[in-house]
Amino acid sequence: MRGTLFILTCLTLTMAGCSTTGSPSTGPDSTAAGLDDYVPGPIAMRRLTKNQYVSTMHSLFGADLQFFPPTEVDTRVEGLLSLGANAATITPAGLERYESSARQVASQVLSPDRRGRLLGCMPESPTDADDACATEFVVGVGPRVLRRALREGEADDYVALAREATQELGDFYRGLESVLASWLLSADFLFIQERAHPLNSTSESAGRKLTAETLASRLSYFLWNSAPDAELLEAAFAGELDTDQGYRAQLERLLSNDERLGQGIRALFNDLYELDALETAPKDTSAFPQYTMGVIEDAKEQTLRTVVDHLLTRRADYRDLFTTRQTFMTKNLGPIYGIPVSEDWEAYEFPQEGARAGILSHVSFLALHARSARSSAVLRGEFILDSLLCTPIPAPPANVNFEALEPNSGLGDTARERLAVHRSDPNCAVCHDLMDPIGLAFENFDAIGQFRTQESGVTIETYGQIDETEYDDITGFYPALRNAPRLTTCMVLKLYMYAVGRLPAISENEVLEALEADFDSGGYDFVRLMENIALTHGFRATSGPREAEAEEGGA
Amino acid sequence: MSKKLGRRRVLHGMIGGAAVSVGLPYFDCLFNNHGTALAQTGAFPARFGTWFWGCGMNPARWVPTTEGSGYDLPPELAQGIDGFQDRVSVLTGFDTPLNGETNHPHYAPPTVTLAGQAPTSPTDVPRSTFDVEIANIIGASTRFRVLDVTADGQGSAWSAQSAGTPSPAESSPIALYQRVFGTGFQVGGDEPFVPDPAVMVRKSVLSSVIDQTKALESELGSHDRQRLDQYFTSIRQLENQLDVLLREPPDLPACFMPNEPGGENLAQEITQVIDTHNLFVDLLTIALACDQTRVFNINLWRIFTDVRFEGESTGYHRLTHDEFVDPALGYQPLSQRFVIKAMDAWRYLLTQLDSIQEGDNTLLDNTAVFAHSGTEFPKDHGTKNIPMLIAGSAGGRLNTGLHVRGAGSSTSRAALTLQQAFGVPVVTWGDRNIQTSSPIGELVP
Repeated sequence: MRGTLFILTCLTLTMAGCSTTGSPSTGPDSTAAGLDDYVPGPIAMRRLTKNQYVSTMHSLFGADLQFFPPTEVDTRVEGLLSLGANAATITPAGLERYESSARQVASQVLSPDRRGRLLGCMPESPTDADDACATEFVVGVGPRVLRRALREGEADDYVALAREATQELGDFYRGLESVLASWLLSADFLFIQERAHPLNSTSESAGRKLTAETLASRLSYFLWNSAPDAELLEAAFAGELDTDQGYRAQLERLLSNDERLGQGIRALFNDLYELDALETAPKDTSAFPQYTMGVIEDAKEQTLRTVVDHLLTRRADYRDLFTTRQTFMTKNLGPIYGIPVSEDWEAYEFPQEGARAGILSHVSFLALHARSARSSAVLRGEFILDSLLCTPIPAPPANVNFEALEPNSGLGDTARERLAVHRSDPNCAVCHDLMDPIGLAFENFDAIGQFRTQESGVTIETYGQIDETEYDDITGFYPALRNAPRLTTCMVLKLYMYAVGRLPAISENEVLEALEADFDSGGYDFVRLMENIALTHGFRATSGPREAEAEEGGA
Repeated sequence: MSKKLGRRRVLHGMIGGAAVSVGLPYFDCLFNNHGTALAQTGAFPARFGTWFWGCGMNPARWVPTTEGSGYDLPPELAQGIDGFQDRVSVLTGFDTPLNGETNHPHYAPPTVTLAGQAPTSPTDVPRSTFDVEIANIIGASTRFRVLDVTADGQGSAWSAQSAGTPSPAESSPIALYQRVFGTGFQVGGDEPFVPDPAVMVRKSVLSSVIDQTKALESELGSHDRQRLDQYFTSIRQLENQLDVLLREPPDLPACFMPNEPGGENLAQEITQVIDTHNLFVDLLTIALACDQTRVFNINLWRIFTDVRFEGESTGYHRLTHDEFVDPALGYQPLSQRFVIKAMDAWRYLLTQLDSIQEGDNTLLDNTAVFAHSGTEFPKDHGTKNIPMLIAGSAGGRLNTGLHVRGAGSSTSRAALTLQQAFGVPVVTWGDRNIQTSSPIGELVP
């Protein structure tokens, strides 16, 4: 609740700031980057999310690695798993899984056919300890895995562990496996650790600078959804990230790698749009036999491809993500969209004037936010308000009667009629007056996102209203949403929280406003927004370690 | 499943999709050399479990009209405890107050019951749950401090390690089998015991992890230090697990190596969900008999469940909202079928625990299993009159066979009673108006 109230306050302030049109931004010299006289929120120690854990392993050791993903349950805060991660710890059952995964990974990484990728030396005997070769492994690989430089004497401890394990098991490489496993279980690996320089590193009113290693991890997980690569880490160790010039050089390098930046953008949208939940969203298989696992996988991929194509490849206006008719199709998806498809992932353009435009007309969104056998205007409306417009809707009263909502309730042929009955109760109307007009715009799409014009033999009406803008049908809704000021305000806020891994402090309101002004004046260029966030003082500094009491303050 | 089983003859399960019966050792009170210690002292360990079923019951068909012992058995309750009545206490009329938080009806009641604190959002995990406190007392020496399972695919069985951290639950019986009975598991007395050097190395790895992570502690603020403490606790628990594997396993008469489940179907049709549940129960029963764990949490199905009868399109949770109450019957007839299925599943758990003989008693007697639901009358999704059951006396730590009415007091009283019975040093439990210092006196011997 505290978080919710805070977001609303923040939103109001930011929207106020939105009316002042910022001077044209020139990226690195954006208004937001120029602000540096505030103390940002505290350190955000985050448990790697399931997706981050997997992508970190892959980027360190290769995408062909086989291992069990974590069993820990990631939870959402403000709609983001990456924010829930800053409260999560490690359970006994979760650690058990991490340990088996660590052993699986270590034994593959040091198997005869792969070990050459990481290890330049050979032991004198494969069955005996070899401190020199073990040291080379420890010093060469340890910092990459731990995402930090080794402390004094630390390397010796790992070499000792390797020696002990080798003696016990009679195998030099199994000795190294145990060292690698210990890194993969360390709190430096399982959590994204953040460290700050002492207070005197900046002025008292600006908080403390984050260390170069911390910046490397922040940048890498924000932009690439993975651990820093060797070059970024080297730059951190060499002190380059402590200078503005060196920091910007690495930032530019990360932003210019389309492949990896694309992965980062996918991870963000996967999180924000809850696309991992699509796999387990229940569907009535007797009513929708055509909704197969292939459809589910392709539906998620379709949206992510469209997002990356739009925001990164085309560098198009973020807002047009909700109106673009460009997308990609597969043979699995063709029947759901009612179109012939000859080749998987062919570029496809939804017909002009048709009911489909933008990623909210995709099967992924429509099927995820629906019931198992019928559409749900409420779920769709709620997601858009909550996750895209940062307007959280309170939970319904406990004993709400949903009878009226059923197609066979006798209380109306269409969802619109049935919801009207429902909204006649003023207690319900408070929230449903917000959700329903938005969600009902999507009633032309059924529980799995197939187009329809009728429900129970009656023509479906999709008119509605968002803020002050009225629309006649879904084709009017898309531009209305696109032009809603809250849409971009909310994206700035979500992306900032995603980047720093925590809620913003009150002191960061001004920078959020400035970021939005920059977004505004820069043509809603998403990559530039990412860049501007990485350049803010809030991204590069902190108030310091997070104290338990700080939670009361909303940090 | 609802077939009444003999008190200790068979462990009945779905292995490889087909029902099989596994004969249990016919030892009763006979112990060989390895079991003498337990036999002599009679000190079978006390065990604890929780069992959650989602959408309540129909009060007129479930709540006894009489209190105390010998309470009457309305039909839905009878389905769950017939034959076990003297060993099951029924708790009715206890509420889950929300401390002014919005009611998230699909999440709040089990969270309040187990954590003593109301969630602020559907995803909020406000603090650790009380089963964790009990596991800290009785689970510290076993290989697994606690085993969590879920029959309907939900990620956790409502247990939480700490704020923001639900405990992950196994959703696949095969995965549970491999975790408990796979590599490293050995039945005591079967063959000469040789400690595995690889396990010793795994222990060294964990010591190294602790040593290296200590340096981090001083850099963290108090919030993150608490989280790191949990991480250390988990590492120590794993060390303990490895210690157990390095010791010769005790020769427990009821312990045996079960067959690996040959297949599983994790679909959401009722038959599959019940099969999954029952297979979990079989494996947990053997895990308890082999003293691999002393604490477990089972989620049969969440409140927001999509479990369905075969060939029907509407899941249970939808039915509870949508189905009309039959005025002649006074309940929702379609939804009611799920209550019966849930009570069948509960009785299956009691039957299996009772099939393991431990001295003069059974595993059920040495266990306290706490069943709780997310609402009373399904259609209301209310937070009052949450039904609860406690089966077994945990080796005499609790009175059984009673019907106790809570008169609107908080379900946290059950949590307090159980914690105190297992020796958790706690005198008050719960947040603000959930808080209580009054255990349920009738249950305290």
